[in-house]
Amino acid sequence: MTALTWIFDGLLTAAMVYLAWSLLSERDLFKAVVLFIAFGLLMALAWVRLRAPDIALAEAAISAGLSGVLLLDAVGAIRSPNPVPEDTSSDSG
Amino acid sequence: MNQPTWYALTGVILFSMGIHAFVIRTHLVRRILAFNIMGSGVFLLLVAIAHRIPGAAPDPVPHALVLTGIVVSVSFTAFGLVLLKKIYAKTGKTALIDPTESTSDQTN
Amino acid sequence: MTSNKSPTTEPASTRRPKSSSGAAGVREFAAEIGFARVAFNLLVVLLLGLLFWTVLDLPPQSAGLHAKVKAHMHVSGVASPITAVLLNFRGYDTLLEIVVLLLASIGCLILRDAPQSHPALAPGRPGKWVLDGMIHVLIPVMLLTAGYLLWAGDHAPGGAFQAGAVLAAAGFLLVLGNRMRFWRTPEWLLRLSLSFGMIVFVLVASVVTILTKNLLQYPENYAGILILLIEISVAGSIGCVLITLFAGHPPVTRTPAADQLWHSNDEPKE
Repeated sequence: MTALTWIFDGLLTAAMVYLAWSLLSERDLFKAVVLFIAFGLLMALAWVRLRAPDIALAEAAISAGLSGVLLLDAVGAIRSPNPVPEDTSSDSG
Repeated sequence: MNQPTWYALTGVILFSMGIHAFVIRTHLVRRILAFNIMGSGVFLLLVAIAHRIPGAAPDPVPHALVLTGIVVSVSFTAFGLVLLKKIYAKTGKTALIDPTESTSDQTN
Repeated sequence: MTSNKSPTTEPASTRRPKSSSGAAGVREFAAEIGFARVAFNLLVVLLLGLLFWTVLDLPPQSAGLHAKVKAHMHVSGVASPITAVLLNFRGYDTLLEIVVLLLASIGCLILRDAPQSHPALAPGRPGKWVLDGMIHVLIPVMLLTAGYLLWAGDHAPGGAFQAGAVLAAAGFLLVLGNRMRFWRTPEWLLRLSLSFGMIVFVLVASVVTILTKNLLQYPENYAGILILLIEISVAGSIGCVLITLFAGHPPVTRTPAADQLWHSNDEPKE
């Protein structure tokens, strides 16, 4: 049992470090943000392993969910070829 | 070496990677990502060393601090991204230091 | 999904002015600061080693504050130690955190441009159906979950932050689905909802400070109900602040071409 949990902890932390590394060196911002969301979910798992379920809940909802949406939104915004400040109503729908 | 120490060391690695990328990278989205990784490392370390107390349950005070920290870091991220969008809308740049010296089509 | 994204993103990233990615300009820049960079890498490795050593050198046992928290649980008014620490023993942390959130949303509102809605998925897009379905199915469940988390915070994992985050996620969905017209919100309502949590918290803090002569020390019998009151208002405000940070500053309006690039996975039907 302990061997299994050690293997799990080892794999989890290795995956976290690998994900963090690849998201920080990823060229495509979109991919980097997706990797960041995955990283947030692994963090939530790590909190459960550290017996901090409160933090796991907050991490899953906030870090993986809300930060992910905000980052994707910003990356989408700065991908537009030309900044078009103010004006133009694209209120579609 | 026990399980919390293992996670504490992971936190240290994440923090170092985050601070490295935070300084090396110039793109502001990458800096925000790096800041979040740094924060995650610090939180991991903080919660892991809360396990050092004798007895079964971990110390709740660092847990509460980390919970507060996560919410503060998301508000930092959100505000940073607002600033980034503003900088982009005004100048067309996404970095404060611009190695390529790009031309900007809209400068105020 | 992501795989057929990458080819279409190439033109966008080359047109994008800077990007610290591979461009030759970056390499020149790196050569220029080469020495500083090597020195910095060494510094980070040194820092890593130092922190490793510090962590391994920590005394294996520490008294911590666990015993103190446990000894005072009966006066905290709640059964979950973390909620007790957050809203009672270290209530000022949470109070200041609400202030930080409020400041972030104020900063966002200061920087906003002319009223502009968040770009929404056009009705013809396939993704629109998914979004609409999610809104119909998920919003009630999310509200229920937020309520449950708020209630559970008393004795189990959960509480105002988690509930606020779930509320904000519901709000994000509504904004993306164009169901919540953020810019149509009357100014007074927006300001009230952002600051409501802090107002209630400060009011409670002032009243109990006057009554008990100690900052944020709740009278034992009323602690539970006061914490619940604070938690409900704080959860609502956290949700509103996060929605404001998302919707209050919509991305620069994308040109239709860029919009198609971004949503290149959906075949535009219109």
